[in-house]
Amino acid sequence: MMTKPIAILKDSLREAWDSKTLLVMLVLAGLFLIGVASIGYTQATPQSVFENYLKDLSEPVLRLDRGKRILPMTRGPDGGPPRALANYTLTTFRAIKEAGHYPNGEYEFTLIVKPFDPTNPDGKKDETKKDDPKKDDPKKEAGPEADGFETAVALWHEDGSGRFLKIEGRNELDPSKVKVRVGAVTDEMVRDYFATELERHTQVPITEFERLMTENPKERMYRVKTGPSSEPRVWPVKLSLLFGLFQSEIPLPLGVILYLIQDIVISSVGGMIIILIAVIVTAFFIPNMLRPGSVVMLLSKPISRTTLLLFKYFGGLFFVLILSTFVVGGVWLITGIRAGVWAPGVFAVVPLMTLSFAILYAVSTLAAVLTRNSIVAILVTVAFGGLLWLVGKVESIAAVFRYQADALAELKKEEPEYPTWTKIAGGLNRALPRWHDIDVLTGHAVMDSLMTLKQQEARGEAALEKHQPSWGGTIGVTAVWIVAFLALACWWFSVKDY
Amino acid sequence: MAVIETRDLRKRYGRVEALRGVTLKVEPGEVFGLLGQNGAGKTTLIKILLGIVKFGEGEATLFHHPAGTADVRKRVGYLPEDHRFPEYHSAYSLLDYYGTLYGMPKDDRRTKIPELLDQVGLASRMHDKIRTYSKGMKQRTGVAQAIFHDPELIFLDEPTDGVDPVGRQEIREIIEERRRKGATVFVNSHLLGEIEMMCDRVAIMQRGELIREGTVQELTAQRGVFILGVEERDAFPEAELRQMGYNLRAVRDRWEITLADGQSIDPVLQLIRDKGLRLTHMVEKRQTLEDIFVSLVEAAEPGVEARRKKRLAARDRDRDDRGRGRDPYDDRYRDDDRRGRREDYR
Repeated sequence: MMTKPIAILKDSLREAWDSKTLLVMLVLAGLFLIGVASIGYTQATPQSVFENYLKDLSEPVLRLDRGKRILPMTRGPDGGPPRALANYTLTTFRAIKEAGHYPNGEYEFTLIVKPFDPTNPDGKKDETKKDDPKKDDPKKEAGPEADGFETAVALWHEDGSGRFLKIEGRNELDPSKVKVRVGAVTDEMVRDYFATELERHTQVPITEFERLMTENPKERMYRVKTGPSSEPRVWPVKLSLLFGLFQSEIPLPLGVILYLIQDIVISSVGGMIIILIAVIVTAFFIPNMLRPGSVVMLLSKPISRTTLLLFKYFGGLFFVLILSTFVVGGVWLITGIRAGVWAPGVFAVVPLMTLSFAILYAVSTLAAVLTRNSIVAILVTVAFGGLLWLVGKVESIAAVFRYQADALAELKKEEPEYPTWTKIAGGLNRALPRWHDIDVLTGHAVMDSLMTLKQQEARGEAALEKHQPSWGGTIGVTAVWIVAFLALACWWFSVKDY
Repeated sequence: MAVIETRDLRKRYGRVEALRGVTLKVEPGEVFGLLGQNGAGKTTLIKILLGIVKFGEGEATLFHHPAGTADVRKRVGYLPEDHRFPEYHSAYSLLDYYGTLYGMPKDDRRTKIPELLDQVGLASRMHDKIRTYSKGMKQRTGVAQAIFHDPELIFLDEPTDGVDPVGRQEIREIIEERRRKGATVFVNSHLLGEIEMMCDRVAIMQRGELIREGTVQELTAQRGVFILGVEERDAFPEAELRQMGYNLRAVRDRWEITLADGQSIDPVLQLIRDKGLRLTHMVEKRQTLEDIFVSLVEAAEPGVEARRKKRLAARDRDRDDRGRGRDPYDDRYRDDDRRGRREDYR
């Protein structure tokens, strides 16, 4: 029963193969895969990993809700430009138990915390006051007003209950207006803060945590011991490119690197290239079929026009399916062999990229049936794709605004207020084919596969989860548009004389 | 039971009336020819029968089923005029593809494709891309795909277009072979000689209407005109025959006798025998299909015949200039002459 439709699919594939485009694309993809295979992953040394972890903590961002929600700072703690609430540095380091696979080792290090000082915002002056006994006592409660570090830890623990924070002002989170209750930040909270963040960054547990005496009353010092971990995706690695020709000195978690390769390079840039080329190549399929001498040959065969058109359409999708499977499968195989991470979730890119193309190809099909002109089909498709891209871009900016407004409103127990333009962008995005949402979902599918949940939390992605588009809505609305375009194309094709 | 039947079939393209009440019947096993000028509606009629074009009013059936359905198309083969095959195919892969669309089993396709392509003279090139084929080879491919699935009804729109004389002969043989196997063949052609040679029955279409229909014999017979030749040309009894009331004229070394109503050729033959003359040539003059076609078209559309005569006169002058005069009544030149006129017509 399916032999006729399969024959049409094969015919489309033969057309694509004959044009050499598919071959050229496969060769280019092969070269790209060789490039991916040339990437080497060297585990970063434990000391550099812990240093990097503390460096990340020193970024000028606000971590809320146990670090699940990360907000960019709009102002610094003194109302000036954004600055970190505290700086963290590693002083001593030693391996308690060595291991060939670094995450399996046990380590000890001390870290120094320098809270933000409004009288010395750049930290250049020595503010040591040895004659202040009150500051030397680590067990003593914080002073009448919490310092930057205490504020950071309190913010980190704030889950919207208002236990630690009192926020003034609207629509922005200004650290200078955040008031932390005196004495609220305990050592246990500090340990929780460091341990959870360290686990996010390295999947390494803290086994011992102790506050040490320090000579500088404005500093804090902690001794930390860590236990083993076997999670390969989290431990940072250093990259080498082109079989060691170029070396990167910045260690990044393996999962994050693989995510960047898979999502940014393949899904976003590579996917866009594949889709653009596919739009151009496949735009010739249907007009070629509809040329006066060709269409009558097919219409005289015992097959319905709808079947003919639909399977010609599926033939175009097949083109993208083959390319994306080749690229994604190749990267999956290579990274599995080279990095030891076998993440089947990355294959979600294949159907989602095909779905992205399916919208555009449905538009191309309709334009081709109406005009029988490939160039018009390409122009109309690119214009429609451009519109979806633009709506998606505006929506992605609007999503950040909404996310921040939600976060703030939650903390302040108020209803969120969104700017009007974000509502329009959201409405358009919901009503039109969800090209942008497919991209977001693709990114998340890849991320879920390559990064641990804690890693995602560290990047602030977990908190965005509830703001993510739904699978049902995204696929449903998109499918309705595709069906509508194809139904119109089939109707026109069925009633037209050739 | 008619294979093709239309009743008062009408079709409009905007303000143009392409078919104006066409009623037609084609019986099983016939080779039926449809003649007509460009734009007469021949191709539209075929496309309606295949469902490629929707008709406005009337009825159209194939095998007593509504024309144009997928089930009916399964029993039909079609070679369109000015067809264009996907050039990424070879003749082999094209037939394989189309055979699949007709629901032919894979084994059948594999067996039949080389045989059929051998029959149409494409065996040595069957795996080459169609883009490398000459026009004649593409036409042979077209004929092959039209008969590949052994259809009961074959529509051929200008089947010998662009094919050399040998190829035309082969295509005629293929059509004849299909007829022998019981297929009905419906041929559209401008090549009236081809139609005359291939078809049992012919219809002439002009401006969307069938203006004449019948067997080739019926259409071309011209009663009462004979061409006679005797060995002793000068002894031909011209005067006696005129006295007997016969209308005759000399045409080179022969005589054309036109019988009036009630006259018979027998007294003429008797007189020749009585005079001891030896009869070397005697045929009843027939019209060519082209003559009929042009006269009918002239009747429907005055001016066509005048234009044709003007062209023929110009051609004759040209021949005379080149010293190539021929006897138009010499049978050896008959086909050649007709072909020349057909080319003029085209």
